[in-house]
Amino acid sequence: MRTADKKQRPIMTGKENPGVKKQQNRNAVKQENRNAMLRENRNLVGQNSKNAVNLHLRLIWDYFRTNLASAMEYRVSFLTQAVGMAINDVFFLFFWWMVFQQSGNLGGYGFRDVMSIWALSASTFGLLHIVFGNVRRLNAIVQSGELDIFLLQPRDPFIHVHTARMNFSAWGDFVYAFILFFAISGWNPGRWLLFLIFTIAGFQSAGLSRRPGH
Amino acid sequence: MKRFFRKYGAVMRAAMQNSTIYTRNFIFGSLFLGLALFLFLQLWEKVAGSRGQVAGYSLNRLLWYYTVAEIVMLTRSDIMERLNGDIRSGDVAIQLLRPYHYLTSLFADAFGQLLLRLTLNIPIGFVMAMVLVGPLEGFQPTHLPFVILSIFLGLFLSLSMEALIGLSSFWTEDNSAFYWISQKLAFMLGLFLPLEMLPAWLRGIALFLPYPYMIYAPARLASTFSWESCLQLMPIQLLYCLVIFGLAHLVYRKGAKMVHANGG
Repeated sequence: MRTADKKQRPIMTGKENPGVKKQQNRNAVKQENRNAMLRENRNLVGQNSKNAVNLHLRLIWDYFRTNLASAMEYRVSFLTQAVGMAINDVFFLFFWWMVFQQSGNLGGYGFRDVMSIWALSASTFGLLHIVFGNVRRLNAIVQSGELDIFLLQPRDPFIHVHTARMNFSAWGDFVYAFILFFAISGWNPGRWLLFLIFTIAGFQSAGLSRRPGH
Repeated sequence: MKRFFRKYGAVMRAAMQNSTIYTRNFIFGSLFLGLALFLFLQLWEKVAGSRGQVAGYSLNRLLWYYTVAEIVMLTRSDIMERLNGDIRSGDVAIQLLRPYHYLTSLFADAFGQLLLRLTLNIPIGFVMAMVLVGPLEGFQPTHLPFVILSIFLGLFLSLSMEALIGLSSFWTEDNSAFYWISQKLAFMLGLFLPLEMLPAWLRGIALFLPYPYMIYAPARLASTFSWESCLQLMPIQLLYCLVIFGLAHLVYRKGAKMVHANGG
């Protein structure tokens, strides 16, 4: 009987059925809201780029503060990782010292030159992994489906996902770099200025090189 | 004993089969081996300069030293990561219920992975060294069994050390710092620098540590074999294998007692 009833039932259109009309209205409102949100985002990122930059800088700063607070909460773990990484770096200093014991210079480079390169790469690497701690975990985040959480947030997911974590051991690299540079350059202001400029430039270019298309 | 070998042999075989799935990892690891050897050769060629030798090693012997050292270093398993993961997530409680000894099964699994990696790394390292510097000076086939045995002892010692560090997860929140330091000690006392390059006082201290017996001993025997150094290095290698393996089992027994399973 039921099947026969179903077969005989006429197809309702919006005009005839008020329920369907309501649903159509609801869909239209939803679509309008979605468009408004997209327009807002476009305004934020495209037309009002200054505002967007400020917004994302604040996001990075807020994450930095929160991550640092989290590091302080697990102080022993934080110190173990940072000090462990600094000791790890000292081993390479030892390696190069031993190499230069065998030979005075290599292709015109002396021990201090190689150490300057080490200091600069450690400071750049350290800063990058302090601020954007997820840089190396992006593959794992995508594979495990954790990226979904970031895609739902009203911020650039690429910046958001990278800045969401701080690599505690990177503090070891960062501090080690400054101590090493001080040991080889002393208080020479010109060298320090260059070191700071190159650290920031290296940090920026390393960060940008992770962006697809760059 | 027969049952023991059948049970853990099956674990080892399963690990080998699992490892073959990740062929891309294998290939990239082997490419790295070739690149590392090339870079080392460039560096030490510059260091040797006109002398043509460094700390008593000719360039030919030095590159063969690095080939064996890199083979041992790159032949790694994931025993530490497995232990870290299982202990921190609490999965170790489930593993303890299974009808095998958890740590021994992990060793069998790791050895399966090592065997497979070794079968790939040895031919690639051999071909690279032959291309870069040619056949090893003064090589005699009678030395080969001792070199291979020393490589296996070095691998087993590294494996036991990694297990020991992994087991520290029972007490520590993050043990990566221990691993970095341990790994760099092995690098500096064997991989990057043969002990002959170190100052005499440091060499004296290093020989009392387990680290030179992981990489330095097999690489030294492979590149500059002498019966004297063989008799000096291999018994200590074996002794350290037993000590670190025994220590890992002791730490495991102590740690496993701390595991509490709740629920019903």
